[in-house]
Amino acid sequence: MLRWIKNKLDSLLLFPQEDPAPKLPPPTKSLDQKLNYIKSQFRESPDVSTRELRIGPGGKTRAALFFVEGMVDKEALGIRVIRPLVQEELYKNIEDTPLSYVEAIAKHLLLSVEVKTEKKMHEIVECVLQGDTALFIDGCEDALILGHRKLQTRAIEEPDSERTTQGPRAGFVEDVRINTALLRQTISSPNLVLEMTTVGVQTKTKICIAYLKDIVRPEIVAEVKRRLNSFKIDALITSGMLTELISDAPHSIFPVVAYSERPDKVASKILCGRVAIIVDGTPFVLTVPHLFIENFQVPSDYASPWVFQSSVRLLRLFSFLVSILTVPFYVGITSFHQELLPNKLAMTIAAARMAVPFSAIVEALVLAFFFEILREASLRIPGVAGGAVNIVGALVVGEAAVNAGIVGAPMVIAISLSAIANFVVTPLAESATLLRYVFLLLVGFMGFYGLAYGVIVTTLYLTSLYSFGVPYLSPLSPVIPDQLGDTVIRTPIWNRVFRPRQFAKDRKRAEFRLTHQKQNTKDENH
Amino acid sequence: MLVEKQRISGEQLAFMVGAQLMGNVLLIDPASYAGHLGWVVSLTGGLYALFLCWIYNSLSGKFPGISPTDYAVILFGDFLGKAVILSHFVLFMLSAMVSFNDFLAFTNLGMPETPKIVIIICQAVVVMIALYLGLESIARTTVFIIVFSILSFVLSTVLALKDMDFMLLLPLATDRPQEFWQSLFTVIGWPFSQLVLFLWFIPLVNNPKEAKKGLLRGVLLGSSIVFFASLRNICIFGDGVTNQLFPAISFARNISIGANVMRVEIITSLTLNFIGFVSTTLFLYASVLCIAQMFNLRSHRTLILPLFVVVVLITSRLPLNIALLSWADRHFIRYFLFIMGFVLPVIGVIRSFFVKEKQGPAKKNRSTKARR
Repeated sequence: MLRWIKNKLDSLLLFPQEDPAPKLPPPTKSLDQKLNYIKSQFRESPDVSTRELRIGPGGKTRAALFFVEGMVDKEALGIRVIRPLVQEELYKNIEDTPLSYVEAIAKHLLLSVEVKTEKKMHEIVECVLQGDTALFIDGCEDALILGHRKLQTRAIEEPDSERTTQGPRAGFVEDVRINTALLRQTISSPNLVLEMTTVGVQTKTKICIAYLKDIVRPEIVAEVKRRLNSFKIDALITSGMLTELISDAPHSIFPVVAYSERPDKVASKILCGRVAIIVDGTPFVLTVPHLFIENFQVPSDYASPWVFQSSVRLLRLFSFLVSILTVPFYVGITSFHQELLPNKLAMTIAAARMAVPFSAIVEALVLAFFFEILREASLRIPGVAGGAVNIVGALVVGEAAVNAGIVGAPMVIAISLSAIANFVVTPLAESATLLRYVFLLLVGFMGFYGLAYGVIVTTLYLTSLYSFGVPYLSPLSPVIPDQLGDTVIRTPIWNRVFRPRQFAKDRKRAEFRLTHQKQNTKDENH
Repeated sequence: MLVEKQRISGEQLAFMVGAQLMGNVLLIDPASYAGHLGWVVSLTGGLYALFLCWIYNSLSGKFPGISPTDYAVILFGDFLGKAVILSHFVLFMLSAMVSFNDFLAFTNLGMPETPKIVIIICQAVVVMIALYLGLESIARTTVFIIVFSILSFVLSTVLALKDMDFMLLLPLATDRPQEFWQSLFTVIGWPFSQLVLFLWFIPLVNNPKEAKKGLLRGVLLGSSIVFFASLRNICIFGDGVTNQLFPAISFARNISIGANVMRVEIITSLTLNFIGFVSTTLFLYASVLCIAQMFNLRSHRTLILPLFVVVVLITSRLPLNIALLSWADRHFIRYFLFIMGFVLPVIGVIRSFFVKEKQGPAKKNRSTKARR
């Protein structure tokens, strides 16, 4: 009974009932009926326009163009559509053709690149609302859908969120078509599949699934499609919303779906056998399956020698731990395990905390909370004022709080260190922030034993996560030895012969015959 | 039929076996029973563990993919078979309680003012979360824990090299032979006979061949760590190791390199916590499996909450102090462990040759495949 009520409520709340379909006119040859329908539907929408024409020999046939202002290229429409339609002499070409009148116009008169015929009115309206132009001809049941879109998009530029010192400067934009072109530009393979679908009852957001059909495991593609078809939502505005809907663990604090604004990064993931999901209207492209270790990989890892980049990756891992553990560690040491500190350091810390009226845990929570407010404010405040707020918050208030004896200087250092380290691994910044607070409470309760329990439970939780059927912590656990070369460190490129077996069916990535190295060595020996 | 649907790999089994041996021994070292001959005891224990490994592999090899509940009934009959499984349950619960108690004592050293019940509940909650998430999560977490533990072990050993005196391992003779044999018998039961626990995990490995290799590798890994831990502690403390409650911690506390590297015991403490968690979890997991398998439950998860209550109640009520435990060990536990870990499996292997024909379709299919 309860389950029935729950299902009923779910169906009412989650899947909004669609309005009864507007009364569509039956397929008709009458131009007036079609125009009347459009006018009645879009009476309150001045951006939806119709342009009536007289075409054919002697201008005897009536026709109309139906489009949305601002979404079509009017100049192209004039040159490629209207001009050929009104030139009488061109109709001689279609006099003897066996094609229908509409098809003959499409094939022999119009200069548009994208042309298709459509009979159903709701399909026609949908195409027009997405930027196409419909051409109705009196006496013809079919309409022609002409692709002359001209959407306002920003230029392709380097994404702010993923800057790199070496590597391409291109970033995705909001238009799905430009994004697919950027991918095609990087992967010029006929095996690159770009499947389009739409999501959103109201928004009809276009979504493109991109993968290499000869590399990716078909079960992963099938699972992506299954999940994309498994929900019905009113509007899909950002890729983040989609992440929650298709994720294996929607309640997880760790990201199990990756996103990127960089075409080179997404292309390299597709080349490993992953599936990319491009959502129209957002520059963030999703990739699945996503592994935990990917959060520590950045494009510049592969742009300079492996020895240096391996040390940088280790630094990133260390920073992640610093961002989570520094504050809990400091609180644990000062509150429970003072004996672990060397005497001199213990005395320094004790002197710094002498005037502080709060316990270490309260001090840490207050200061960390203050930092979070500062961070949130600096994100929201307009650029010019943002810098000033940062200076006032970080320097003036921090310094004043220490001088007033409300917090100790070592705690300010610990909080600042963990806050800075938090931004080294940006994909995990939110997870690290939450974990820091959880560990802080555990340490405040149980000292380092609480921290140990927290670490164990976090590891257990991470090991239980999956991303599209792939264990989240692989290849570290379960251990996949031939893929450990691009995890904690980055080994030379010739060591990475195989693609990840978790998502690639064709595993061989490359073959390296580095004979020149041996040759050089021989030459030196001689 | 196996109640547990999750599967692990051979490597994961090896790490679990290694962690289980380390978990028991890093806390209470064989050397703390046998003094300077502790390393001989550890070495002998390791050889005994290898023999056990062969017995367990033979036994599970006779019944691939079948749980011990089912083949205990085949081997010993309905009544005796179930009695054996119940004894297993008692053994695992007892081991888990002792393991819990060891870590309670250990945690109490660092947090003397925290009430015992709070520590027990925290530990129990962590273990129950692990049981709830299942075997795959436990096995994967064990990989990280064992890598961390080995690194910590190697680090602390290297840092203490300058203080080690290898002459403390001598003489090979002892004027107290009875103590030596007593400690050998204790160590054989505790922790090596506890390896019987893995009879429950071998059928859960993806590939039976991998399971055999995994058990062997795990025993080698765990026994080596046990041996080197004893060796290391004796080289620092000599016969005085018998006076140390937690030799691994005392050992780490002594490390000081130029007054820069010190207080390494914090890493050792964390290691012990992690490894102790694995040990306790495996025992409780096996006990849950025993019951779930015996009563043909659909999942072991329904038993987790009752188990939590039982564990918290018993551990907080029973005065499991070291004197009581050593008395119980001398009079009861070591014999019980020896019977469960050695005698019954050996009888099982012998019986398996006689009940070969009665075994049913599983065996027949296997032999048909082998002929092909």
